[in-house]
Amino acid sequence: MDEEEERAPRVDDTAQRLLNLMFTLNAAAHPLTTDQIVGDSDLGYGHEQRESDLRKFRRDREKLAERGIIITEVTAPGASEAEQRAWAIDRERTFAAGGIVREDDVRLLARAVDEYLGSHPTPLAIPLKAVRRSCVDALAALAGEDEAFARPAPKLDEDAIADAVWTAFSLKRSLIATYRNAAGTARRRTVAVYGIFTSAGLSYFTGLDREAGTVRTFRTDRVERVHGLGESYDIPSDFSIRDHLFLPFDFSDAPEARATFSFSPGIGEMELAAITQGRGDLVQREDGGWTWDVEVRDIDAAAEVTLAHARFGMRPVAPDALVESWRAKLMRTVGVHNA
Amino acid sequence: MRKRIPGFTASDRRVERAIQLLGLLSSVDGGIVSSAEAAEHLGCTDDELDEPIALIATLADRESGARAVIYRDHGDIVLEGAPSRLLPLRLSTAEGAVLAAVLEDLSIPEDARGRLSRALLPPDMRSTPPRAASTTVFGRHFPAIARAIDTKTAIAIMYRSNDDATARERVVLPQGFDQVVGVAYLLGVDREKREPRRYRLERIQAVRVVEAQSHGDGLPACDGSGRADHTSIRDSLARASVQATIRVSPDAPVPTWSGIQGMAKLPDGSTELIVGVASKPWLFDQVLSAGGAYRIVEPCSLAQELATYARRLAEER
Repeated sequence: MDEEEERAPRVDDTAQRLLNLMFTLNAAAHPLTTDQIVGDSDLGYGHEQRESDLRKFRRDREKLAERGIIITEVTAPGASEAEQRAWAIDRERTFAAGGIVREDDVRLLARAVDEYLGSHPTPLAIPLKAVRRSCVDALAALAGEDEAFARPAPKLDEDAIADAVWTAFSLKRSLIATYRNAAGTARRRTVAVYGIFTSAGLSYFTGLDREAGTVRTFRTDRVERVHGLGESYDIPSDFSIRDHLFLPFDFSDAPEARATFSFSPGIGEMELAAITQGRGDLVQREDGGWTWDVEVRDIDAAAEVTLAHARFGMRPVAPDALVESWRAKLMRTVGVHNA
Repeated sequence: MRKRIPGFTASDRRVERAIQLLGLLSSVDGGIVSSAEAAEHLGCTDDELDEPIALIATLADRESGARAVIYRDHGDIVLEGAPSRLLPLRLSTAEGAVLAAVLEDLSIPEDARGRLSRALLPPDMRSTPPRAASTTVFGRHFPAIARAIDTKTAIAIMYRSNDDATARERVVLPQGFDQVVGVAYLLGVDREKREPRRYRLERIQAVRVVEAQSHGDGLPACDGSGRADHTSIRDSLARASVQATIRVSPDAPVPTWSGIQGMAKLPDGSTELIVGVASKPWLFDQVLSAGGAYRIVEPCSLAQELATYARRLAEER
């Protein structure tokens, strides 16, 4: 056996069929009918009963759609109702549009992606690397640039758990994993991942915990082991990850209470965004200062946040319990330093 | 090498890699990439490239006669023939969610954001609520600062430091960005002080172009990358003018501040920290928020300043 024969791997029928379908439709000058597809043994169909091949073709379209290859039904102009269904790649939804991006756009995008990546393992690294490598270079070509942007992409350590979280989110397949919570208890969980975020150098994913029946947030580095991917799911249309960017006063079983804080003039909107994370209602007063109303669960933690930003003019306004907790912590600190 | 995930079948992985390889080869001139680059792009070893190569090599359309021609040529992988080429693929819905977060969080201008969205995002996701985010705040001026870095242009920034009640203007030669524990910084040289500085992006309230940078005017020498030597936050805090000794109660969590230079466990279970501090108000606020669990032990003058600061706050209410 020569080296070439030794190298040749076994080819997988399913993968070959999916790729043939994509290739054939990509190369086709006209849409292909259902019969042309499911009756074609070279494409990988036509070996079983027609119903079985139709189901296979439907599943194959779904698999390719997961990877952004959208195969859609088209109706030829003048076709009668009796005409067979015909299929083509939806080029608008599948392929990036050329000719509309500019060199400056691509340059800015490359830098933005690099800075967003940071330096910690995160599930967001995989799609960001995809954008950086494929899209930046491809966009550069679309914009008429002869060279890919010279700045190399940052090197990041691979993280198998972050990989798995991203794969689950990307394919919308439940993540089955052993997770150790803050109390140190490890349990197997099945999570339909709805969103991913990073905070203070750590990455988190939020989704429906099947066993608990509620939407929860998990820290990626507390996933001890990934057991596999489970069932498919849909993400609720109104789900926004921004509603789950937690603040220190969210972690309590106590009911939510409306709290009000004030900030002095001089602090900028973006500084406030870093503190408030877009939660609650922020209103600028006539004196130039700010008032922030937000739901809190842990009043003591809310008082701690207020003190941690005292130099920004952050002060507690309501409820009384918040003001009292804030004052008590101040006086305890004074007492400790007077002793 | 990416580990196999049960439930994500081997077929899934093969299809994914084959599409990625086709996409990579389609995007480069001549359809040639090195095996090393292809392996890195696919997240696999050189040997594992044989599978997607073999898959792509089987692709053919009997009716049109189109074939995919792909082969290894010494250390390269070559794709021939127009029918094999894929146009650049749009991002998937999940990838698009991440790009949307980047465009939003880095304040990419509306017109550029529109062009990039139309070019790359799946059409049906543009009205979808955000599914990816970062709590790092990059501020409103990232694009202008990025442009100034690329064009080596000095900028005047309105910046509020920890010790300032309001923002004041500084002229900066911007050199790059950095991110540390979820905080984004501009790295640059303060032209007046002639020293490297780092500025938190969310505290930059305005940016104005001043002029193109001049060379050889006595500013700090740059390294090979064209950047002044920006020490880490930890190292710069080690040289800070204020060094404090803080005692942490046995039952309190020990902080993870960047300025901690030393740590020792004491017989009573408390922890003693040696901390370099760039801003007294910052330190005071962290001690106050601990509600009595942290105590400034040395220097005594600093402990007295804290007590005065705390009493003044309490008198406001």
